[in-house]
Amino acid sequence: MLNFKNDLKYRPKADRSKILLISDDIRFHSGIATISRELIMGTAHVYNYATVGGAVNHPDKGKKLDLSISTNELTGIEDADISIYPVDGYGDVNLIRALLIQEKPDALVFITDPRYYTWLFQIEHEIRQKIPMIYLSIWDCEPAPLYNKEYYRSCDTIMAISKQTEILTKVVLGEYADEKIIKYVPHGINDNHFYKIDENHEKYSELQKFKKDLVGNYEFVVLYNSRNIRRKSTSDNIAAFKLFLDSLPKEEADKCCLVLHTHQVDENGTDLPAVIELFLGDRKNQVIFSDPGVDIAYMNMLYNSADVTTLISSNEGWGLSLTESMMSGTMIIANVTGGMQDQMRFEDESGNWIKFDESFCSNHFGRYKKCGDWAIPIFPSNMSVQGSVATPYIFDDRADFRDVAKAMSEVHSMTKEERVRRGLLGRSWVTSDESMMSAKNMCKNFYDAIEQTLSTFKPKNKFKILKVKDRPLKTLKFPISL
Amino acid sequence: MNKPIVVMSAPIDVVAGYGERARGIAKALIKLKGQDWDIKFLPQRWGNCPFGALDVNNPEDKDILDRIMTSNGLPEQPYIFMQLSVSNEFQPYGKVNIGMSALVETTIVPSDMMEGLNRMTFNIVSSNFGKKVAQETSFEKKDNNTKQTIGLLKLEKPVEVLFEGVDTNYFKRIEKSDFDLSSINEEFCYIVVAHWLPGELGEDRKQLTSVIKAFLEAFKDKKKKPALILKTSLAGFSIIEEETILNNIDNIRKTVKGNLPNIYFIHGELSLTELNSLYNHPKVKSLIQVSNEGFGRPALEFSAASSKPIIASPFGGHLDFLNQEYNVFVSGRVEQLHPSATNQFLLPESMWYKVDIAELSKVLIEVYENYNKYAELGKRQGHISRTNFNLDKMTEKLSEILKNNVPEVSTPMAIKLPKLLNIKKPSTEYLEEIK
Repeated sequence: MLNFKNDLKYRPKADRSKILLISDDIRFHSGIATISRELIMGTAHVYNYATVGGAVNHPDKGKKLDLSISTNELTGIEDADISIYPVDGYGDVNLIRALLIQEKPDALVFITDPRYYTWLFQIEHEIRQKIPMIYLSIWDCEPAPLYNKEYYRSCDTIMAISKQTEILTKVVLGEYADEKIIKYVPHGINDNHFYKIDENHEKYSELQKFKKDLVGNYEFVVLYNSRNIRRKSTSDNIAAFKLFLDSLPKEEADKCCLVLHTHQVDENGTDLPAVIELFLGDRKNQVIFSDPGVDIAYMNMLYNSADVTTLISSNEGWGLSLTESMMSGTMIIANVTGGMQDQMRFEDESGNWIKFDESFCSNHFGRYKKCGDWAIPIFPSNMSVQGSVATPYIFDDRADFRDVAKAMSEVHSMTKEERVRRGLLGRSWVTSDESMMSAKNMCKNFYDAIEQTLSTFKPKNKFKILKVKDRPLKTLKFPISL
Repeated sequence: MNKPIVVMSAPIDVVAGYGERARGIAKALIKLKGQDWDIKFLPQRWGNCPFGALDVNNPEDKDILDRIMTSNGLPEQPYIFMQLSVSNEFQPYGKVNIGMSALVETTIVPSDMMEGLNRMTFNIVSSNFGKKVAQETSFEKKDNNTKQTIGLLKLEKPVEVLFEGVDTNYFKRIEKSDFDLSSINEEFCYIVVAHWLPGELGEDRKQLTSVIKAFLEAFKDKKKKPALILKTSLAGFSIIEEETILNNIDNIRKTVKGNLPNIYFIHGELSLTELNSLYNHPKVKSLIQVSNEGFGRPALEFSAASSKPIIASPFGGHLDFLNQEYNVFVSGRVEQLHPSATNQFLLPESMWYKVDIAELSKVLIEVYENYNKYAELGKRQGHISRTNFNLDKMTEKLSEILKNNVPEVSTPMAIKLPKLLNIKKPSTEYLEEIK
């Protein structure tokens, strides 16, 4: 039996390896939850899953929930074995020890920033004597975070969600990189959920109504879909939108709106209505809020209602709203940093998708300018080395809102047909085998990494003898990709 | 007839010193009372230390595993409740309650630990040092509002000493060690087996930092140098921990200038068999244990295994089994704890031993240069360790403690009433006659 979504060959339930997956609760709406859900739904016919479903103050903590039947219904298979252990945060040492005994998993997979998992890395010796640790890793920006070296060394396999993460992981690991499986596993979006709705599509009239209800008679729609937190630079989109409107004749400006699919006020971000009122004044109604926490069908309608989606975060591991937008056939404006670079497909002198190496880990300084037609890149105008005690250094890549305003103008100046052409180019590329950004490709990459890990895994030695030597300097030959 | 239920709550399956202690007592208890009592074990965590110490293929371990309670609650009040833990956690769940702890490594038992001891019927500590500190510690109780003294908190319950017997099934002389030390070129190695605990240089409980410093100072720039093997960890043997320890060692190395002797770091889990093999390896010549200990198992196990000399501190629980004449004791100072080493159990106002680093350096050179002399002494201590401080001797001592402190178990008996005689119905014929 072949799963309807991909070509991974069906395995009977009893023959499947079991994955212990730690991530956000897959029933929720965060980016991590979305990706975990896609991975599980796309591989439920080849792996059984026990998942630790994290949330802040999880209402179901302490329970064990069986999602096998609902997974069967969603995937079309008949014998899924999927359970969730809801927890606050991502669990703790005792939970993992208990699950290793109860669930007897064959591999442990975990997702997101390593600092959420310091407790897990502290028992890696225990875990890796039994099963491999597989990390779906993300790192936002150079310089290579040498302070993560012990975290990366604690893993058997690192699946890097961006090309930048992949090269930074290799640089950080140095001589240990050869001992690890490091594989590029970009985030993938389900093309059954996100698709282009054009005049010929059966849902076109539904889209027209949706758009009318959401934005009324506005003709040019700029969409922002992300959290209202500082690194997302949400307010810069508002300032840019103001400049963009100012650059247009009044009658043209009157036809434009900015849709913010985010929380209006967030302690980790700002009071957006106050920002809107300041910048837009009597045009404040041209910024429309769309409430987060809605279903996928709504999101597809939202992207299809927009002419362009912007994401100008100063640090971004991936930027899922860009992939969703591209999958929906809508152009993107993005800051050239982190995982967003991958989605713009910068190309070298020969037209090939650029490759990173030890001396060139990011294109944020603009070595390569040409990218896919579906994207308007914003090269950061200011890079600042930020840090904290736990993460001593990382570049913060700031996009100038004036450049973002110009990008909005550039998209606005195109004909509707040109925007559609470019948007469809984006969809075509994001579903291609080169980009590997479809859910189908993501699941295949995920599967390949796990199979390779399981087939080569050797339990960690119980002990080792180390000769104490002078400690190496924690420095890099190429800390900056100029 | 039902056997009396005896529950022992302890880190029975944990890879840690307290886990070893728990398993030692468990084996002794089963040997003594396994037939008469229904002995059950309530497994506990020990910090973040890993589980999995019990081996299902080992018959003694299997016996313990078979007695482990699968649910956390107590089905009924046990006749005896034994709790091996830090004494502030002691709870009297049984009819008879026995607290067991190494207790302290300093000169003061904290007040909450003292209250825990007083909650139990009686207590068992690992050394006379612990017992003495418990007996000599007292606190003034003050009213929270008036600040007036309202009484004295001191030890009110009996304390018995039960040494931590060495398992001579594991720790014994072997003809040939198969432990692979081929990566170490030196033929003479000192060894330290201790956790890396908090504290600035010279201030940690295990005095590990002082040992490293003294070793480096002793043999820097010497033409012929021994090596130092550190078998140490923080808790779980992770890579993060490995890096932390390597950085800690590096920080001490940076304080010593010159051509330094080699240090080797063994990181990870050794089985008792592997540890015995390491101790018996011909390159391993002497154990350094100048730490503050409630008992100090490594010294006992090392001497029982190898009969090689021990360099020790003249303070703490290990003085119960380390003979004054057969070991090398290093002078130092008994001083207040440094703030970097204190916690809720190691109070800032308490005191412990701090080795004199220069003196330790001299001792290390002396033992290295005159090893044969000290090797002879080590043999005598080894004999004492194996014969007087083994598990059988500990079991005998435990038997004596239980006999002296645990009331006889009352066993339910059937009431035997005297057999009734056949009672004849009184004759009423005479009544007829009266009529």
